[in-house]
Amino acid sequence: MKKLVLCIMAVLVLFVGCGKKNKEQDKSGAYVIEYWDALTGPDGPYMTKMVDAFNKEYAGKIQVKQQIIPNDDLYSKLAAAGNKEANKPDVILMDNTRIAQYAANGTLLDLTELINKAGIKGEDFIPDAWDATIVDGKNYAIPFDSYPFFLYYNKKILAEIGYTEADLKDTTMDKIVEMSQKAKDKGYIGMAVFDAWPWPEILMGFIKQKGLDIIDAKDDSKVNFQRPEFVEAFKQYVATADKGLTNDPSVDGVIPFNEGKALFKWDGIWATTSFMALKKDSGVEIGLAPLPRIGEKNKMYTGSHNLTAVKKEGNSPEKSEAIMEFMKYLSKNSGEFAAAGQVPANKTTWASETFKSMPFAFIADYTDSFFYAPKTQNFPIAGWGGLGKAATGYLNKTYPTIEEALKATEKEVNDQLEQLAKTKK
Amino acid sequence: MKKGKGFSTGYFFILPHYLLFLIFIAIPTLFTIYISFTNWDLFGSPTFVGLENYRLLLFEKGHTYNTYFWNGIKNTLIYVIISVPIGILVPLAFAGILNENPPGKRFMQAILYFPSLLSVSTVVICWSWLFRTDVGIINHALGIAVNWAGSQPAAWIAINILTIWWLVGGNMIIYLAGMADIPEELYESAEIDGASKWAQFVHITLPLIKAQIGVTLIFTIIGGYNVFGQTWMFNNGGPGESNKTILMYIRELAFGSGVSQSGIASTMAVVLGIIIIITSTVVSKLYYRGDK
Repeated sequence: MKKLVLCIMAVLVLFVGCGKKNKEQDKSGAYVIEYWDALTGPDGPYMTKMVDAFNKEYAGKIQVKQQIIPNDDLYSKLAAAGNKEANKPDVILMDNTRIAQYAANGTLLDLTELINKAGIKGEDFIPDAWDATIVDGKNYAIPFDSYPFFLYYNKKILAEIGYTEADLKDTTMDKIVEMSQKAKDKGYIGMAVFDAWPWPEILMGFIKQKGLDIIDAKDDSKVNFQRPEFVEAFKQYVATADKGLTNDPSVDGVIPFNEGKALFKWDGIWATTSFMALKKDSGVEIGLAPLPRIGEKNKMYTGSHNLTAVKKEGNSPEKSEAIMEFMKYLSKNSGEFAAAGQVPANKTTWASETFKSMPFAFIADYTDSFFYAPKTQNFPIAGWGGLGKAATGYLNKTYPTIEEALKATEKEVNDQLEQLAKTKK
Repeated sequence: MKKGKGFSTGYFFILPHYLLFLIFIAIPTLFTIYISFTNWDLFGSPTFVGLENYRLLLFEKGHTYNTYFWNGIKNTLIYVIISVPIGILVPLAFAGILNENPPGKRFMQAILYFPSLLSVSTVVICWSWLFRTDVGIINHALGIAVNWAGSQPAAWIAINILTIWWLVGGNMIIYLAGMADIPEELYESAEIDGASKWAQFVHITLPLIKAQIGVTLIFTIIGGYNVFGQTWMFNNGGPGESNKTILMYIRELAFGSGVSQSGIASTMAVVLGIIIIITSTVVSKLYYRGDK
């Protein structure tokens, strides 16, 4: 029996030993900051470089431990940490679509006071990016970057069908269809698409141009996808597919576009770097233009990464200041992140050579067109879960008409929102 | 074992297993059952809703959760029905051939076993390229233009081909081990009596590896119900969610983007667990029917 007790104790010690203590400082006296981000793509190394530079500059004072975790896993890991502060990070680079949810569930620290104390001013940032970090009048983040969705085009084909890049600076979707038709007449694909990820963000942009959000932040208990503005935006969005000007939507159109066989393609701004590499590798020259209009005013759906801090009751004021110092440093130096294919949210960095050398530097004139997700935790279900499925389902012919796609996915979203309303916050 | 000195030594040896079982299986299972009676976003405290989740899932016709559940179960069953017979018969055939000690047996055994050492992501990424419609070698070699990821039944065929390639080695090794234990004399006397190779396989080999086949049958069924990686990575649930398995719905609801719907996801997991237990028990009873 004695052996049994000893054995249980040994195993328990082993497990207890696995637990972490929430130690603020390391042996050298530097404050240790656990930092999580989900930059698993080519932008990851740029962030790591910035963190390394910070650690070098702040040696002996602050040390940042970076963990790159795939997006969904990051939030599962955060949930799994439960109430154990030691298992939670100090800083998370959070997608703007998650801020409302994590502010509401008490994960995020209200940064209003720390931001004021650090002298960080909202007017230095893209206005809507800054606004996207404010929930119920409190600042929960410092915007780090923004990623609008663009229309990418093949420069050679564009010239071949008799247009110039200037024709795309402020154009309409009707014009895009017309150009796609001309490209098709010359034997090219007009618009390269694929149904697995058809960029519902473009559709959201068109809906916003019609004056609506896909979900109302003030009344987020249901969505109404069947409004005429949604149907009209959807029609414009799939116009090239409906007119047979795309590749087969169920087949990935990336390859023909990269091989220079298609005129247009939707994509996020991060794709710019891979298209720059494409020019170097195969000579295919790709340009980028703002989203075409279907309404009077251009609006482009824009996502963003934001520096958030996790609420930890045990943190000393010194640790909180160290956290803010790190976030301020990243924001101040975010001009370098433009090379990773993202627009730094801090406009003061736009004077950097790195930003100015990027093909999307013209975006500085378009920030009024940026809009961000409505500030409700129900946005992801409405956006990717609802509208995204409607777009995919229509393109792969699960739904025969636009109206049916919108009706079915509206019900899908509303059934879930009804249940979520019954969940305790 | 009598209670005495050996008693605590016995416990000493099994304790690590039981502790790990408790931490990683028993507690999470009980917790999942509890969460299935609640609505919970993983952060706040769970709201007890009684049998509401079960009602929505199983009986509220037309409700999104009901649609998700039955579509997931239907697709999972399609996979089980196709993959289980293939997952037993193909490895058995290879084991039968290799048991005849053909030249290059060791090499073939290694080649067939190798894929099971790979992760599901490696396997699916490799096969996705082979199955690509535009630049895939399979379409090119066969001179066809099948959209393997985006049309049915092509997607199910592709998923099952890559799965059998991946998993053939595991069951095959178990059968080969069983075959190695069969006394050589049985085959010799059968041969003297004029039994063909096929007759020997059916009347000697198969009955004597019945236990091994039984174990792999149950494991393959359980694995089939838990299919996730292949369908998720190959075509993310397929056109019209026609490849979307129940585990994909569970993951999406609990850990997808947006607020976690862990309550309903746990309900799905519990019902799936019950289905697996029932199927395994019935198959096991039928398989060992008549055995002493």
